[in-house]
Amino acid sequence: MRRFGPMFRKEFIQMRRDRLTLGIMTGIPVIQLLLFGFAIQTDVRHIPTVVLDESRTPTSREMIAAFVAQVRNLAILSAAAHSRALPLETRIRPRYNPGLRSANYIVPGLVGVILTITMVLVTAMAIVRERERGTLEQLIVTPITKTELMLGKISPYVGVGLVQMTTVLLLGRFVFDVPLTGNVLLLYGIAFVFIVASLALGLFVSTLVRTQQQAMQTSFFFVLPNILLSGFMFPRQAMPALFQWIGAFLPLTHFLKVLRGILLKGVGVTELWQEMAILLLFATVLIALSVRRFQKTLD
Amino acid sequence: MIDSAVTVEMRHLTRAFGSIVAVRDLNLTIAKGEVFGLLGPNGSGKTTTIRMLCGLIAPSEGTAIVAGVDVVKSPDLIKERIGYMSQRFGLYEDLTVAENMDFFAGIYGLEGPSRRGRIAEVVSFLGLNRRLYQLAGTLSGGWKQRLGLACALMHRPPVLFLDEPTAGVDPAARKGFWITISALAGQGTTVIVTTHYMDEAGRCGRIALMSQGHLIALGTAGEVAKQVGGKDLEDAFIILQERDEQEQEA
Repeated sequence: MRRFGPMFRKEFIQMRRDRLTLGIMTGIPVIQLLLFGFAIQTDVRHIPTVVLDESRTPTSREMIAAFVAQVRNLAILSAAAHSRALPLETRIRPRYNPGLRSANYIVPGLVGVILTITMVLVTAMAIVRERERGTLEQLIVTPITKTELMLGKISPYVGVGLVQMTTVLLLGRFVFDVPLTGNVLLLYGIAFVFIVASLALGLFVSTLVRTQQQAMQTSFFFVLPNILLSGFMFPRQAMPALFQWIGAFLPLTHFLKVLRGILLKGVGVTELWQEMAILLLFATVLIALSVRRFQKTLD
Repeated sequence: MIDSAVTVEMRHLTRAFGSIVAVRDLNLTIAKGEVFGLLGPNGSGKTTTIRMLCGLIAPSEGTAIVAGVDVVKSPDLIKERIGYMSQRFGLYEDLTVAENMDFFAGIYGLEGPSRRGRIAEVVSFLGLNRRLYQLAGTLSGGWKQRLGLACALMHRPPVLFLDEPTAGVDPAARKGFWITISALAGQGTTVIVTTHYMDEAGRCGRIALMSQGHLIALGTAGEVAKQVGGKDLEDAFIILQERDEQEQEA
């Protein structure tokens, strides 16, 4: 692995000089977070309610009027209700996400979604770009091994991924007041594995395509199921078995459990070891597959 | 036993792309320190031959021994013993001259003082001193070609492959480049070069003239011209191209 160093250094210099990509990589998390964080509200509001009055007596009508008044007051959070004597008290108790705060649910998930989009896309383009510019031809005529080339290519972006994650978490904490309940160090450890898995997925895409345009299209083809089937927006339990099963093959599905588990519930290794193992497996298998598929020839 | 004076030997080297045979049954022996030219019209199989000798394309049939290594059996090992410059600039335009050299020196396994020493040596050999901190993308054709050569020479390869190295380079730079090539050959480096320029072919020790994947003539520039039936090499080349066109029409 002695040629890993030069490859890493080269990739890092190029990344630093490519202002546009660097801007996109740091801009995407901020824009996405603000967009999703403010726009997506999955809270249940404005529920049309019907009261069936079978009694049809003045008492029952009085009671309904009082009830409606109370609910309205609840809704506008007025302390002093229209006090008509009513022997009832109404309370709304959401069983899920009792604080009715969408951000708590969306922001941790967004860490995973943003990492998936940028990490897959960036590496999918990286090798194809060398092919298009003609530098790959010069590179494969040197003794560099396929593993050195692949690992050297993706390593600088691990740092980018960790910076992105930190940005989203900090903005989530201070703009959307999302709690950081559990062990943040553990979260970074698992995120590292997840980032490597996403980069490896990008590498794999790059071995399937010939041009940067194809790389971009194929990446989006991978990204969309990640958003829809991973449980980022829609609960997986509500999906047909087939789609739950497809979802299980997305690294993001497992990383979401880690994110929400650590950030919101404060759980630790005991509860998350399965997810950790699966992510590690994804990373290893995808790197091995990419190295296998990549050919150091021009055929 | 491999003859130590022979650095490249092709045996029945053949490559087909689908139904098109790009190189057909090529048998050639090239000596150590020779400057060997591969000539021929576009599509005659020069580039395919060089790519097979570098282990970039696997031969369909036959094999070649380059610097003692079989290109079919050990396409990875071969890469430590050859330098290669393609007709298209293959270095990183967004890195400086120094960064490109540092990268390739590292990839060729040079480390620490030996890397710095070798880079300094190559820089003075090719006169790159004043360009070190310029981005490679902003260099002129001649300087890009020098930088390409610098990177290909980092590991002191016994065999150097140059695929149309002087395409798009001005005459003065071309002349300087050939002086460098002669110097390298004088040090014992075997140089295999493809070219379109007839005056450059004259600077090669021997040339092989190729047409439609076949070897047509072999020898010094004068010998090759005579074999094809032209009064000089340029004449021979035109005769050859006309013959190709007639065959295609037939």
